[in-house]
Amino acid sequence: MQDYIMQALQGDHEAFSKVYDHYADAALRLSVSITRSSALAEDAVQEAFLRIFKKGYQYRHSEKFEPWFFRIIINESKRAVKRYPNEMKLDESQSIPSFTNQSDLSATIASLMDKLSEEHRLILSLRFLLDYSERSISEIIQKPLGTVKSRIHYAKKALREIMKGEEEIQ
Amino acid sequence: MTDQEIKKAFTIFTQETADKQKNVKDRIMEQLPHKVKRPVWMYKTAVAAAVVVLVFTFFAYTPPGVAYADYIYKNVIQKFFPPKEIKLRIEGMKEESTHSPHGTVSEQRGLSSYVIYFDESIYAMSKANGVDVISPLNIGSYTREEILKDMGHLWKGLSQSQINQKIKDEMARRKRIRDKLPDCKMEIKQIAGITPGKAAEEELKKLKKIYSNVSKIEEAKVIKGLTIHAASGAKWDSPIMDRYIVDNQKGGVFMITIQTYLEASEGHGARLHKALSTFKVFV
Repeated sequence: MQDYIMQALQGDHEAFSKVYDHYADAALRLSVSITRSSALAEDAVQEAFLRIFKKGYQYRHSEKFEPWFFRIIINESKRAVKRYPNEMKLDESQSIPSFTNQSDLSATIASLMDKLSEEHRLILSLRFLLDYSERSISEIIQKPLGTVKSRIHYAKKALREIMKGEEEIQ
Repeated sequence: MTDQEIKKAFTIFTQETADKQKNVKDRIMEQLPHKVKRPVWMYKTAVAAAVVVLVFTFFAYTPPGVAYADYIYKNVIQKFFPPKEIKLRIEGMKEESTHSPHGTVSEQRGLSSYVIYFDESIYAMSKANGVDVISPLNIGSYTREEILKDMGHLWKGLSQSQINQKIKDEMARRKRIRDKLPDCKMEIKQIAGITPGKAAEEELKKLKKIYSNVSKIEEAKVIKGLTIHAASGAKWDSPIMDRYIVDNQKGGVFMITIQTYLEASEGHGARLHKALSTFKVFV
């Protein structure tokens, strides 16, 4: 993949296509975790990939590619939310993802994602959805390891409290 | 709640969007340019070339009804200078926000072009008579709806005509306060045919006639250039002014003034100085 990345950053369309196929799933999932809107996530990922292709020369080769890449995805997603704040909800008209064959608890957590803050969704999706280590997350978001650990802790705590609140309502 | 369940929850939450990767790819591949990879010198040349081409072709090709500034902004500033995430500390609190590029592209002899970034959710830029002004958005302006939102809970039980009168009084009160607030802004103007040192000396003389406390001419810390700090008084609304003199690289200077007052120095003052740190001249 490293070779494809280098060729893509130099403007090779075929290599770029391979890089897209490799990272698109993670990029779209991370983006929608931030934006909560499929439309905004698609736009943000599109913008991010175009930027990466056009501005590949800004990539410093001393830096690892993935943290740089995901930072661009995160920044574009946050920018999209800021630009279109009213879109910040998964389109109401769209069907709720099917929960068939999923454990009830996962389905419940998924339905409560909207109630988590943007930062909490971001940190949890990097850690649990994309399976990045705390050290890798620290490189992506450019925060000290201790900050990453405490953010994960507080994000999980927030999620548990939301779950608890929901149980009490029911 | 296990980590595995959180992972599953995120997978469910994001599945519908992840399924759209083919559509997104099609859109991206359609827009990929044929050539990329511009080293720095080419980048600068491209900006300069774009400016020249745009200026020469502007009158022929600018669509009717499209303002020149908007046209230049979209085709030069916005195209070559992407927005940035900027971190700053305001009154002890850390903030990070998107700053957007703004500026002026100049084709006149002896004048340069520049770009500066600021947070569009707080500031706007206006241009008149060769002076660009960055000032807070809607400072002190209020609509009926905003006043009702702020104060409506206090007026429950009043008749509609009483509420209308309360709104009117409140608007007048806020206007009185707004009118008393000193200016808070950044002004950017360019002067051809003068060195930074000479310009600074002339400014120093002028400022000494206006302000009671005026610093010496010093090397600026926030930007490469000279600076003079001036202030009068120690009341909450006492004016503070920082003037920066920056070489425009064409034998002239950019004269940049940040004007605030004591109470606003750690708020707008800090934000405007952060914006100033992004100021770049391109020729």
